[in-house]
Amino acid sequence: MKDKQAINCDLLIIGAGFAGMVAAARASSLGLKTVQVGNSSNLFLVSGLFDLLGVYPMASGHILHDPRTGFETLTADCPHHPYSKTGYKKVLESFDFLKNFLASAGLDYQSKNNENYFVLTAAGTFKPSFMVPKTFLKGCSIKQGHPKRVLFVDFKGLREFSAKQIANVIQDTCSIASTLTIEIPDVSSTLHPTRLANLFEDIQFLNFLSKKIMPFSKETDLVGLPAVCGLNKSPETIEKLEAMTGLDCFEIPGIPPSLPGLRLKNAFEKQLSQNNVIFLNNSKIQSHEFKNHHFILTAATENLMAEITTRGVILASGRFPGGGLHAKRERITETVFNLPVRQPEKRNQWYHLNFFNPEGHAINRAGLETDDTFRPVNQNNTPVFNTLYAVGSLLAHNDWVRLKSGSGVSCVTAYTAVNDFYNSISAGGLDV
Amino acid sequence: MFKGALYISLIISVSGVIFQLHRFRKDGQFFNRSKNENHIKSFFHIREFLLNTFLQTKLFKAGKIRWGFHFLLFLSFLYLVIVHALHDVTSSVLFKSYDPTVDPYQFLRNLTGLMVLTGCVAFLFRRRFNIRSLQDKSIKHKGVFSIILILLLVCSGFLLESSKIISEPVFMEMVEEYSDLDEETGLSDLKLFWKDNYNVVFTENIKTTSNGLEKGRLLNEEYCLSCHSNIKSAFISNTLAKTISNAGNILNQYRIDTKFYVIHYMLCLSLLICLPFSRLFHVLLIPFASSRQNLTLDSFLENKAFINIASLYACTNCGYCSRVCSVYPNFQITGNQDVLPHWKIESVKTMMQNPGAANWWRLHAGNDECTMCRHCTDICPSGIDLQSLWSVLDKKLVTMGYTNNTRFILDTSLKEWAKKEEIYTGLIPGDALSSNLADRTEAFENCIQCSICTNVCPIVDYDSNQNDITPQQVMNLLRLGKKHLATGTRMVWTCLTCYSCQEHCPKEIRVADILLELRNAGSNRADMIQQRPIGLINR
Repeated sequence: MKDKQAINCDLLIIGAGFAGMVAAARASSLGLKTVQVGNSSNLFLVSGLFDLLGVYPMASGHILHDPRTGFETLTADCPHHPYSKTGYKKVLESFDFLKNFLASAGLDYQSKNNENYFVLTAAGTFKPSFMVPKTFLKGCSIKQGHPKRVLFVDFKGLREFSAKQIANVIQDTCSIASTLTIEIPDVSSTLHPTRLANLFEDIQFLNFLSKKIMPFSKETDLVGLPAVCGLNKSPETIEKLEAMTGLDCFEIPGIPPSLPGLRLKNAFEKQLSQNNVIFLNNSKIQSHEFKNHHFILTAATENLMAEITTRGVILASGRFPGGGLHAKRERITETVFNLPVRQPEKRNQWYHLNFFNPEGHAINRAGLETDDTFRPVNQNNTPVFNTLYAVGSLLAHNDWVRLKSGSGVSCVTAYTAVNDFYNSISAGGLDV
Repeated sequence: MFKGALYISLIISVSGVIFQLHRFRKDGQFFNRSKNENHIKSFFHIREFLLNTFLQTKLFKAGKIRWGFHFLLFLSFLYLVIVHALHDVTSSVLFKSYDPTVDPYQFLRNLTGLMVLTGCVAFLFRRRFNIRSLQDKSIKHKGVFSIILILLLVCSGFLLESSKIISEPVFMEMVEEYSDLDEETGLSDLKLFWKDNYNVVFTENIKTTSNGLEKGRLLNEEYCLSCHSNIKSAFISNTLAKTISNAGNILNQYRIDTKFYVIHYMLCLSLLICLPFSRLFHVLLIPFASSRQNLTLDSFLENKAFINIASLYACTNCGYCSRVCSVYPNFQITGNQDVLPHWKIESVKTMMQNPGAANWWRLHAGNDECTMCRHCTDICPSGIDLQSLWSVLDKKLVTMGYTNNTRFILDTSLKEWAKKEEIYTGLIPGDALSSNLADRTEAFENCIQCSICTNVCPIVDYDSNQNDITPQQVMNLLRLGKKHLATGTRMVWTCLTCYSCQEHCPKEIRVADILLELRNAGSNRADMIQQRPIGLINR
């Protein structure tokens, strides 16, 4: 039997990925009564880096040091791209908001105003990114300054992270790239990232670790570790390790499940619950109607049913993996409100014949068409509902994987949409 | 006579408590395997003790409405016992102004009496109409006796008060004792005033005159008012008195008030006598049980043999534990009530007192299905540390030859298990516990092997060396069509059903549900392989 409850709120956010979290953060800090539905576990899979724009133009794969130059050509070339509707300033403003929000949850992010960082990844490559966790910063200096002597540390049993691989790939960039594999006693086969992160919060483990690193101290300036240094107190953990070894240490982001993503998830959840956002984990929107300027939606899980009455809705349900879009045989549909999806006319146009086509595939640019304030529009280019917004990867014209612009688009669209909703209800335009 | 009865019942009550404690001690020896392990590790949590005794915080967490009624009953009854029943030693000494017929005591006595009545009726109502699915006949009537006793006690109290209100003999006694009035000095005026204002029923007909009333009022002020507040504040008894006043003369003639006094007093004594032998004993045992809370991992490991039997008797069979039980679905399918904590605890008591009467196989099967999720311990309003009890019970059952299937699986290699398991595949008709999620591909085919479930699993974190296969690998075994292997993996058998994996899964796969189901299916097979009678009895 399902328990039923009724919830009244100003704003409902559908989706608990990055865009949904930013929207909830903005809405709650504006004092709106906010409800969020979705599954925040997808944040466990993100790298924890915030990109603004890393590559433009797409075809040439030009990597941007200064995202602003690329941004200007992008908005000139593609007037429908979400960035064209906000402008560069808004993007910086939204990142600033996010930085402060995360800082209040105890997560330290850094950015330089008109410059991308080049973050060393577990593959040994450098990824252009705009805002990064403080613990990654020292790794970014490898690409820029003078060649450095770097020690890469990995752990036996921790899969998908190899110090040797990184050292091999970047040996030209550093003067010396040495490697060290640490065997943890009592761990025989697989070492899971969260377990290792828990170990890092134990001072005895740090002692053990620093003893292993110390023999390398004379031929090393920098120590690179996989991004597992502590669950929630990573900067403090790194500082402790630096104090013990006398060497600079940094984290290297790897493939999921990622601890920086988990830290992000925890920080958002902690701060949002402090801001009294009601989070209905794992619930799905089953039905919706619009009456008297209000949406009435039913959200349900296995054993709970909630009827949510709200003035506005932010749709941040993501694309195919998140379940916001669904690909049927012939058409792509939007799953919650069945909104019109901008997409190629026929299925055989979804993909280019060349899988590695530098221009990307048409399906990656499919999504919802919106007006300037990110309200989804119908065929006549008028908003479907006055207070329904769509944000994040769900939007059309936005091949964020190739442009390395995912976080930027999610962040600025969520931020702008919530601001617009807030302005419209404080102007009283809805109650008339 | 009353004093003698009081002393006798006090003696019975106290010796009853001693007898019960002695019995608990004897029962406790049932669990102790050897003298060496008989070390009593006493830990006393004063905060839990105080909070749960006087505020019933645990019941508040479990159910707000029930707490409301229970707390009303508790507070009111406490008030009645201390201020009203024991007034000779408490209120008369403490409060100078105390007199049972003076406000606020008169009013409060009626109010608390009403609250106790409400609580009792709510209890009986709930017993009749609520949680029927969890109740069985043999425990359905537990506690009803004590509640009815309290109900009768309060009712007799109200009847006593109202019969005293209407009583002319009592009035005359009081007049003789506290005044020198007689017919000439205005006794009839006072009678008139009391008839009008205090509802006393007189045999003679008194003429109502305004002059007489005024005189009576003055006399009342002079002699009575200091001890008798306005009768209207005794709102229940007064109403009752009005309703019986028609028959007042006959009742007065038979001195019905003294009869009610005896009944009230005797009921009170029988409540005292019943205290150690009925559900009422929980008022003494719950404080004791709730002081033994928050076992840490260490105390859990150290403290194996000893459990405090007394805390078992703090159980009031409220059934909250069974409502949150992780393996409640097992009960729904097998009908084995020993799966449910509030039932299992009764079986444990039976087992200790009369080992011959216990259904060992059923108890064993029920306890074996417990996943140690700790939900029952967390919710228990009596504060009983149920989880430790289950693990102690498990050990006891093992020493008695009822080895659990968990042990059997862990002692069998996966290869051996798969071979044995296959023999029985398809042999069991209507395998109700296992033909659900794990056989439906859509339940697990969405798994993307992201390993989030593995990373959030407390079991994997706790003993990653022991665990061969992690949750995400169990899902993969299912995708490979190797369900018979999956049922024998360590992960399935050590799962605590904490549901972290299921809550975190980005593809919304019911990981924990699948693991529990695999465990049940494996348990079924293990019983078959060991040729145990459980499968035939229960499933």
